[in-house]
Amino acid sequence: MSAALDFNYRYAFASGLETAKDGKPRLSLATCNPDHSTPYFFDGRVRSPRIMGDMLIALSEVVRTHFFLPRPVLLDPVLTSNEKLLRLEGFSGCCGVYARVDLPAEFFTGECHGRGTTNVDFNTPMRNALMRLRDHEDVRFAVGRDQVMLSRDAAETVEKKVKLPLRWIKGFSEVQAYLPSLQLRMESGAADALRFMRSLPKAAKPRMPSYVVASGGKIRLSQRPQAGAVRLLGTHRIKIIEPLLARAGRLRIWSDGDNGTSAWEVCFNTGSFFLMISPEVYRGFSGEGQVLSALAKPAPEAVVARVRAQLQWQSEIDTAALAGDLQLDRQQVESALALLGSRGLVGFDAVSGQYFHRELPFDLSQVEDLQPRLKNARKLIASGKVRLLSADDGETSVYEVAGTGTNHRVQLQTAGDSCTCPWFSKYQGARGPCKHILAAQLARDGEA
Amino acid sequence: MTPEQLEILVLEAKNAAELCPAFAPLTDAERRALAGTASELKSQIYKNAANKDASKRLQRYFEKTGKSTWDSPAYHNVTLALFALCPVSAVKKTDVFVNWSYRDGLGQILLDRRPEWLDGWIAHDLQTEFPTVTFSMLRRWIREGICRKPVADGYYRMLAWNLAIVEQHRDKAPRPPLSQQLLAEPDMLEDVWRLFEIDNQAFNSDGWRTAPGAPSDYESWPEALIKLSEAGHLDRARLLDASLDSLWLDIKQNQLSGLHKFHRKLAPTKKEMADRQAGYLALLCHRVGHVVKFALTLLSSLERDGELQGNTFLAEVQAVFLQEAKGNAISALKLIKRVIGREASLLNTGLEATIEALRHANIDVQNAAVELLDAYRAQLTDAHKTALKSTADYIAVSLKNKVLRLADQAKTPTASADRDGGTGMHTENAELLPCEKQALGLTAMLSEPACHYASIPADIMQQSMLPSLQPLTPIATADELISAVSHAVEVVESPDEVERILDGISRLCNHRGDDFSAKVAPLRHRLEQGEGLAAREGIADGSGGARLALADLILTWLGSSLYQSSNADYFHPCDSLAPSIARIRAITARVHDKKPQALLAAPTHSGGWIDPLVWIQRLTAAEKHRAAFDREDFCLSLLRLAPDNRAAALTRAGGLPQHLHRVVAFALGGGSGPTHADRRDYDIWICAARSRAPYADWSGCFEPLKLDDRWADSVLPAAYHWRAYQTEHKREYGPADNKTVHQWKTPRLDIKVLAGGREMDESGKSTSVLAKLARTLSPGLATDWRRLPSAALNQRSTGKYTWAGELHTAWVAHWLVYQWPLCPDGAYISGVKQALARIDMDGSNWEPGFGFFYGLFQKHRPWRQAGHLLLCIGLAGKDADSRGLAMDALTEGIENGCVEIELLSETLVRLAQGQWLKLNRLGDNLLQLSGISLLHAWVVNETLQRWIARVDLKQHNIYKVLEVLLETQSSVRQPLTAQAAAALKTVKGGSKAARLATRLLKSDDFDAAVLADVRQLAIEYRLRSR
Repeated sequence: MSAALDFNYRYAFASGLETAKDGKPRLSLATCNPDHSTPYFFDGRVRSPRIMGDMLIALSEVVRTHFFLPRPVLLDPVLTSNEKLLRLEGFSGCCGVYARVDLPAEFFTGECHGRGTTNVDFNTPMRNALMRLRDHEDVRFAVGRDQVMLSRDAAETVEKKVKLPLRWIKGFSEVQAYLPSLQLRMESGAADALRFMRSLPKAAKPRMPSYVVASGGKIRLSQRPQAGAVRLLGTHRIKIIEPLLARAGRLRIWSDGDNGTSAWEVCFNTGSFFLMISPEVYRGFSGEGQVLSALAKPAPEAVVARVRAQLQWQSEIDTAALAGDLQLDRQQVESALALLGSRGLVGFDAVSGQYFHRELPFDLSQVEDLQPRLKNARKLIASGKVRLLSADDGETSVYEVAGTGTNHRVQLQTAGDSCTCPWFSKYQGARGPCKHILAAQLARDGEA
Repeated sequence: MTPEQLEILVLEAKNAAELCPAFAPLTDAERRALAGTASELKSQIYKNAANKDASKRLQRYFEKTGKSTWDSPAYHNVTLALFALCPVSAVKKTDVFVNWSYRDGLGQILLDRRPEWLDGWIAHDLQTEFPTVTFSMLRRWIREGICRKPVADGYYRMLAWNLAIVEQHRDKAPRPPLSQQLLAEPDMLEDVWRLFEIDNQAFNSDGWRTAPGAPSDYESWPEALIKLSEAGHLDRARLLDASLDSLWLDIKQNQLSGLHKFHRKLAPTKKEMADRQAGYLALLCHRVGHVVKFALTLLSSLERDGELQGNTFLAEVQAVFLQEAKGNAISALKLIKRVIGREASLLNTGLEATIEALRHANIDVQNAAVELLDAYRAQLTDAHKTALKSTADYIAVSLKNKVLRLADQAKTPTASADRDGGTGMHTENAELLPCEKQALGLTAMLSEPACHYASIPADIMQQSMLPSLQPLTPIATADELISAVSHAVEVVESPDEVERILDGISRLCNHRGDDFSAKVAPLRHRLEQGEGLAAREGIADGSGGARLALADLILTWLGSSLYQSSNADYFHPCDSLAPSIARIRAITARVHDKKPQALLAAPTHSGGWIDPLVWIQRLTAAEKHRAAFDREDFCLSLLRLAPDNRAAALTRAGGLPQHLHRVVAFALGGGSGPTHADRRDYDIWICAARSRAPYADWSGCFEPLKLDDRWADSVLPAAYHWRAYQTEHKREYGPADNKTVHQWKTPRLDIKVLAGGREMDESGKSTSVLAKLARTLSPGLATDWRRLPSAALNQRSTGKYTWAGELHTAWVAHWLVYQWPLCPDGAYISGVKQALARIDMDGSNWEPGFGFFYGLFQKHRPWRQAGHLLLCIGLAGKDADSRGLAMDALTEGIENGCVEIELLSETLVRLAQGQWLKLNRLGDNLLQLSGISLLHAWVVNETLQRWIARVDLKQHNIYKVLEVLLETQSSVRQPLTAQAAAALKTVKGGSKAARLATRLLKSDDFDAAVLADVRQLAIEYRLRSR
């Protein structure tokens, strides 16, 4: 998929570290939205400048890297602001690495001026400046600038015209579908985690999956799958967090045993850095099809609309309370939130186990239709290539779906759907349903 | 010009020289009128197809030119026509390419036309990867005022490249030196500053100077700029600042290197350096190691001159310790030492910075920091001591006690106090039968306090294999079988799946419901179309060998025809699998005949094992149902019998017919051996003997059969004699007066397979003359290794196309072990050969070598020499997958007792004698291993002490191993053995190895209690491995 959106980041100034009039350093992040507004979200002082600098550099590493091609990428992160925390999210150019920096209110002394989500400018001079932040310094931090200061400084507008691949936007949106299934697998002290990171292969990297195992209170890399181990492919991708560990408190490792996604949470006394990597280096989060079944049978739009109306940039959405307020089932609310997540309108925080509101600042209308498998499934239905073979007995129904040169058999059953096509035979559903299963599901659910 | 004339011109002009005069006189209006025609012509010529309404001339042209117009004059002419006639949108299209020989023509056309869009097009063109406009063309237009000087980065990249390039054409005059070129066009002097702001090649290297054809007065960019600054044409201070600032650019590392080299080349004076001190200090947190080194060098120079701002330096220098580079960290510590030595007031900050160095990954850095802190131990404050304590988790074991002493802390607690690997299974609670203790290697460890580690017994027949293995559930229904085969065609998760499928097809081949054909149609379609044969890790393959036999079996089962394909010409078969292939072919024939039958050799447990009790049941059932006797299947089943339950199985075998009972009883440890009447069934009897005692010499027992048997692991057990060495190669290239000599060494391992002491070559034929003579005269019945799966494992024919071998499929390599799970030595040796061939290469998807290592994970199966050799090759190799599996195997082998310390050290000694063992890789791996537990550290320490006593300690990178020895010695806190100490005393001089040897010899931090912990841990791990 080579489709891309022409996107113009237009910042009122360049993010960077400058010396304020009082001689103290001031880190300002420039903001911009698709409508070219430049929100002003926060102004305050940072309690741990060095740690914040390290986390933002690590985030910058993610957004400027394509992990398997030497391709220059710099797609700016997005920042969500509310009174409880500032949250920055970034996505790698290869669509296989998602990073999030959580800076809770305790990280700062300052004032939240607004709620919302915006792009923030990351550039090389700012990155260089971040390297020089020291904890003993009194650093001011601002997200955006108020209009008075903007007009007074009259800084030069920064424009970055980029092509945002639709695949990237889709991955950035759909990565949320993976987060709810993550489970905490192991935890390690920072020193041991650092030792582990340093032991990862540098030049010659394993081509087969590796497994992180915990034994004797330590974590190590193994090449054998074991119970409780965390699957890992592309060890270089997690090296991003190595510089953070020297000042961190601990490392928590999350994974989804079914699809091989893992997440690496570096915890500081205050704040955290969360890095999630796709099952394989060459497989991004887009195109994995984890949300296809949900999209094939989505929550009713009316429910989705009602849930969406309740979103107010909350850092945690209490689904039970929301269900109560809306007089809906909790299941319905969660289904609606999952759908909104795939549309880039909410995120999921695996640590708190709650959704949070943020709207990716891109034109997401094109992304919603970007599900080739689902499209193909609908084509199969439209062209009459799906046939019910055996009547649904409540548990199992068998369909015949036309394939290339042959007819595939699809079994829809409560124990798990199956198909005879090569895709399903190979992945056994681990990468989402194939188009034949989707077509059969649609047929069963009355879309035929 | 009419459209028709334009078409004629485009199709017939032979070169640009014919085109330019034709376009030159056209007015703007005339050009606009012809633009559409030019675009249409371009579209047709580029895609080499005429439109429906194209002229006959054009249609004839395409008929005449045939398949492609690419690189034809018409193609280039129409491209130039676009520039001559069309708007900018037409020439900006990505497919528009102007051939090099037409570029001068393009220049002329644009010169004649002078389009208003020229500046915009140039800016666009210069942003592309391969610009159309040339530098000379551009400079000419700038000089003549045809275009403005571009501001695009591409222009400056062209400037950097074109002014520095050495003219390669012999007929052209050499270019003047770079400084003269700049002075000749002074506007370019201003362009110079932009070179410090963008990614370009100006400062990459001085390689041009030595390039063939470089004039004697050639100047590189740095030389030219320095010359110009000396002559007053460029501001020297600005050059210094620009080169310093440019180090923050996000550009390639070699360009950064060129930039700081240029800064050094400018030879800044004391004052100039002092003025830029803040810039140098800022670079200490740079992410690129050589930039930090540059900064440290200049700061060191400032310090010598007494100009260094000590306080700022000490605040900034801590960033150096967060980076991986060891040299920079050591240099930083040296500088700290000088700073605090000179200025006592900075001591406190200096020590704080030094403590940060203890978090560095490298032991040398940590050691240097500890030494510095030790020198100022009296001045350490409480705050320093608190900070020191916080680093305890980061520092090497060998330094931990020193650091804790500096922090006024007690020594590291003995291992038992902080060990966190205990299982709670204390020895006294372990109620083991004597035979269980024996099997686990615990007899001595439980009874003798001085025995800290003992490996499991070398004879597998003393082991109980089945309890720790996963039982395999046979496939029950045709639907389950279809699903399993469909998945395996794409990817085989484990050889267990292949065995289940083989058994499933053999048993269920007649289970065909009405809709069987419809259900298997997609699978059949995939295989028949070849798609299912393409998966590298799938069960089937179209090239040859076992996977081809499996493909034929599956297709025969799916349809009604018998498939019997032959290997492709290029295919390199694996002889070791020949008996299994014969077995699959026999099953295929039976499936075609619609004769379902349960397989005797279908494993009951993971790893290829068969429970003897189940085996007897199968034999009884087969007799009852008068199943056809499958010789290959029966032989394989004998070799797969687990050591467990044999006595009970023997008791239950009484109901078998006499002819079968004799051999079954013999295999299970009872009965008597074969007689002369059994000689035609020698294969069955040999397999029974190898099942009964896999490592025994059965020549006496088989004497009555009068066999002419010369295969290893047939009647006689195999022994492997190997020697590591390297071969040197030399190749010379080029003319006699300017030869390029290329020398290299290849690691070699000469492995000889011996059968009862007789030397065999790789194809299994004895090489001695006497043996050949005896063979000719022998009246015995010649045995065939193809009928003997155990002997086949030692067959390795060499093929031309080794890349096309089936052992490059990981599951097939693993499957080799399934052929004779009692003794997979032959499979391990195959793995050694394959791993050695790629020992210094990264892992390969095409030739993965890691499949062989899975056999080492079988608990309770002694590794013997072949297993240890495979393990060591894995540890010494570069392939990360094999290395990782070898590390896992060694980790588990230490825990479950498969590792024999003596055999491990012996193997490493013999490999080291080959002079190609990469000690850095070995050292890194052993260091990681020793961090897993005290037991692992002890085993590594014991192995290395034996190893260093027997190898050349002057080898390259020996220090990497001595580092591990020091770390493990610090963990186990035992004195060195006399032999190890004697060997270390021979390491003299000031090398790193000598320093480590001295530290090892001086070590006096002993604690006898640690050994008790090692023993306790070993017992706990062993009990856990049951």
